[in-house]
Amino acid sequence: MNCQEVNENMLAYLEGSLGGDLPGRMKDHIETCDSCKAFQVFMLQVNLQIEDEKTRVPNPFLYTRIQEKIDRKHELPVHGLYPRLLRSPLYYAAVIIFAVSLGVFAGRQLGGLMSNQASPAPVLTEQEKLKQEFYLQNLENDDISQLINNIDQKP
Amino acid sequence: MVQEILDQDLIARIARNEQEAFRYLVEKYKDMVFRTCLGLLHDTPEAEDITQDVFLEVYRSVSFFRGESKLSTWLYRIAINKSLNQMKRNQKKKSWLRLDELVFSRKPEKKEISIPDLNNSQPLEREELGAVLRKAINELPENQQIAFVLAKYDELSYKEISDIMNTSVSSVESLVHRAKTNLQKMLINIYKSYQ
Ligand SMILES: [Zn+2]
Repeated sequence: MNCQEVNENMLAYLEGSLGGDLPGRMKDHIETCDSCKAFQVFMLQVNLQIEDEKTRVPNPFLYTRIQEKIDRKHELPVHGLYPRLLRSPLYYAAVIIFAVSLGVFAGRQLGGLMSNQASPAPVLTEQEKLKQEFYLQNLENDDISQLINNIDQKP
Repeated sequence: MVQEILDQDLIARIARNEQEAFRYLVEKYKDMVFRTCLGLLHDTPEAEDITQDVFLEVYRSVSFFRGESKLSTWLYRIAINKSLNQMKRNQKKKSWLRLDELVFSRKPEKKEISIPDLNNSQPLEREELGAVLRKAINELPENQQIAFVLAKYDELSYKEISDIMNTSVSSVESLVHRAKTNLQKMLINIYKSYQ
C-alpha cells in the first residue's frame, strides 16, 4: 500500500467503514510512515471538528429572538393580509397602473414646466381635466383600498 | 405514528395563532434545524440567524403545510434552502470584497485560513478547522453537500434523506459515497497546499 492509497482511504478508515484486510494494511503503513501519520492527525482533527459542530446547540434565547422578530411590525405572518395580497395578480395590476399613471403625471408636469419656459402652457379642456383628476383620484382613494378589502374577504 | 399526529395537531394550533404551540415547536426542533444549518454553514452566529429565519418561515407559512410530508421533512427542506441561499450570499459578498480589494487595494477584513506547520503536531484552532471544513464541504456539488450533511451531521437514514431530497434511496447512497470520496480529495489538496 502506498501513501496515496492510504490518504485516499483515510476518511473511511477513521470512520471504520473499510472492509476486508484494508484496515490492517492501513494501520501497518501509518505506523511506519511519518507523512501519513501527520495526515492522519490532520484528518482526526477534521473529524473532531465535525463531532464538535454536531454537539453545538443554538442560543437558549432563540425562541425569544424569533418572537421579537414576529412582534416587529414588518414581520406579519403570511396567513395575514399582505402575503395574500402579494400573490394576487390584482396587486401587480394595481402596481403597474399606479406606475404608469405616475409616469404620465410626472411627464405632464415636466412637460408643463418645459413648455412654460418655451411656449405658452397648453390649455386642457374641461373634459381632459376631469379625466386626469378622476384617474388619479380613483387610484389613490378607491382602487387600492378596495383591492385590499376584496382580497382579504376572499376565502 | 403518535408523533405525526402530534405534529399535525401542533401545526393546526399554530395556524390558529396559539403562541404556546409555536413555542413548543421551536423548542422541539431547534437543535435539529440548527445542526443542519451549521453543517452547511460552519459558522455558529450565521447558523443561529438562519435557524431563526427557518422558524419565522414556518410561522408565516404554516397554513400552507398540508401534512403530505412529515413536519421534520418540511423543516429540513426550509433549513437547507435558507442555508444554501445564505451560502450564495456569502459567495457574492466574497466576490465583492475581492473586487473591492482589487480596485481599492484594500486588505480583506477576515484573514484567509492559514494552517500552521502541520508536521509540528500542533492542534489546529477551532476557527481554522471550521474554515478547512467549510472550504472542503462547500466545494462539493450542492446535492452532495446536502446528502453528506444529512447523513453525517443529522445521522439520518438513506430513506429519510431520500424523502427530504425527493429522490431515490439508491441516488442518496451514491450521493453520500461521492461526497465522501470528493471530500477526502479536497482535504488532501487543502492539507498539501499548506505543507
Ligand atoms: Zn505513507
